[in-house]
Amino acid sequence: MTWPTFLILLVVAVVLDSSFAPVFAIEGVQPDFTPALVVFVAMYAARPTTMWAAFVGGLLVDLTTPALFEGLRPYQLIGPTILGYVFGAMVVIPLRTIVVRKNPLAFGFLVVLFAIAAMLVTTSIHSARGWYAGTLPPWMEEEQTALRWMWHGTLEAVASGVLAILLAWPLQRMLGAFGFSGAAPWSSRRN
Amino acid sequence: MHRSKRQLRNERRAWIAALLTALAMSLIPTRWLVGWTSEVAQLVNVPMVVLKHPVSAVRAWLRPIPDPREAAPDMMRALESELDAARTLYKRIELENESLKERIARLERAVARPEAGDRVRAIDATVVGVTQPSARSTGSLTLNVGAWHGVTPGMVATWEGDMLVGRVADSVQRFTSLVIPAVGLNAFEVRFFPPDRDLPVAAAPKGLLTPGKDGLWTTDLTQPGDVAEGWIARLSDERWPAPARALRVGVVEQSGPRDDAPLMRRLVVRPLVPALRVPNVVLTDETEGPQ
Repeated sequence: MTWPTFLILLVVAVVLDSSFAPVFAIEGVQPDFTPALVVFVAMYAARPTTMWAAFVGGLLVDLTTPALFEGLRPYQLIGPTILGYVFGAMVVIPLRTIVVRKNPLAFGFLVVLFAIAAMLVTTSIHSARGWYAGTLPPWMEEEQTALRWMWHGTLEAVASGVLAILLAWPLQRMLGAFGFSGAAPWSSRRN
Repeated sequence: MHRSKRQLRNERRAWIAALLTALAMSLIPTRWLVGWTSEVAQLVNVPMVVLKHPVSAVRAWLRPIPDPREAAPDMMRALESELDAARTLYKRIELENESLKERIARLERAVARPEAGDRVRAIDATVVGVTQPSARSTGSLTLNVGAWHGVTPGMVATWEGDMLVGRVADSVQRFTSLVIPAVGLNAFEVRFFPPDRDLPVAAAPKGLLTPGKDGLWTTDLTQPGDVAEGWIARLSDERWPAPARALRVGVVEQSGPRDDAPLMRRLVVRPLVPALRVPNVVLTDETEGPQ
């Protein structure tokens, strides 16, 4: 894969997530561009490349998502989205052989699965962190329950899937710029 | 491109190390992330701002903030806007008035204590920064007043008129100053008084409060007199300025004989006020002439 192409598109996707995606928000549910990009890579790139792309994508999302400690001290929690995206990529990789890659609906479906898998991991990590003194999980800060939080995450995953269907065509047109090789040296099965 | 087995093994190790690092970072306590992670994030966020500006502008153009007065005539909108601004100004003045009354009350409480004497200088200050305790210090409060406002090193910081918070550190800046919490100061002398009855000063047991662990003080009493839990420690150290005398310092949390010297009583005293959480203080000291 041509990493500069991926990194430029990743930065654009993260910028769109934070600055443009609210345009599509309905009742507080807004789609994300980044999962669509990572899933697109996961559909075509070799397994190690996919994993590193998910890692870097998660890292950039974590670095651009500030949180507050004790109400006024900003910090970045680096890790949950990285692990979530890596897990999401692990869910997508076995499925990419059984879907028609150029079908926008299949792409959207995989993005929904990816986003739900990532959300499960991040929710688990935030739950574990809730045991620390002075650290509340994000749903408790917003006076919600974990189930409600996960339901909201699922709706956002579906919204991201719908957005991915729209993004499928432009991404397919850029396939040459990504320069996917298709080799998968870590896997016993060549995906 | 063909890669050797060794290369693949190294790549796999690097991948596992990266994942373990991410897992460790996910689970470390929040207070260890505060500060440095924001600076690392700035490296990524600053270049992105260039892109975020035009993208945000497009978003605002596509989906502007709804204006509830959109349908009203221009004249009506302008008048309502002016009325709202006037209301805000009026409420701001009311809040300032309220705040000034509170400051006057705090200053009067600090100066009016009979122990404080007549020549007391008082400065009201707001806490604008808190340095949390670390292995190297007991923390400090940064105040919005400094040498320009008349703050001098050693002034006594009080809360609610008669509760000791700490003392102003030696390095007073022009417009700011630092207060060291009382639990971070050298040992000082206090006398213990019961909370529910009056005890003459001469009969009140005397002790030297020494800073201990967890922001508490300890002292050993040798003289007769039973000090129980709940007794109040009041400052009686002659090295401190006169307005600080008899200030309430702490409350006795534990009282019992020392294991290695049963005739002595070991007291553990907790500060009455958590110094690093007060929003404002009054600084006092003695003046040369009447104020």
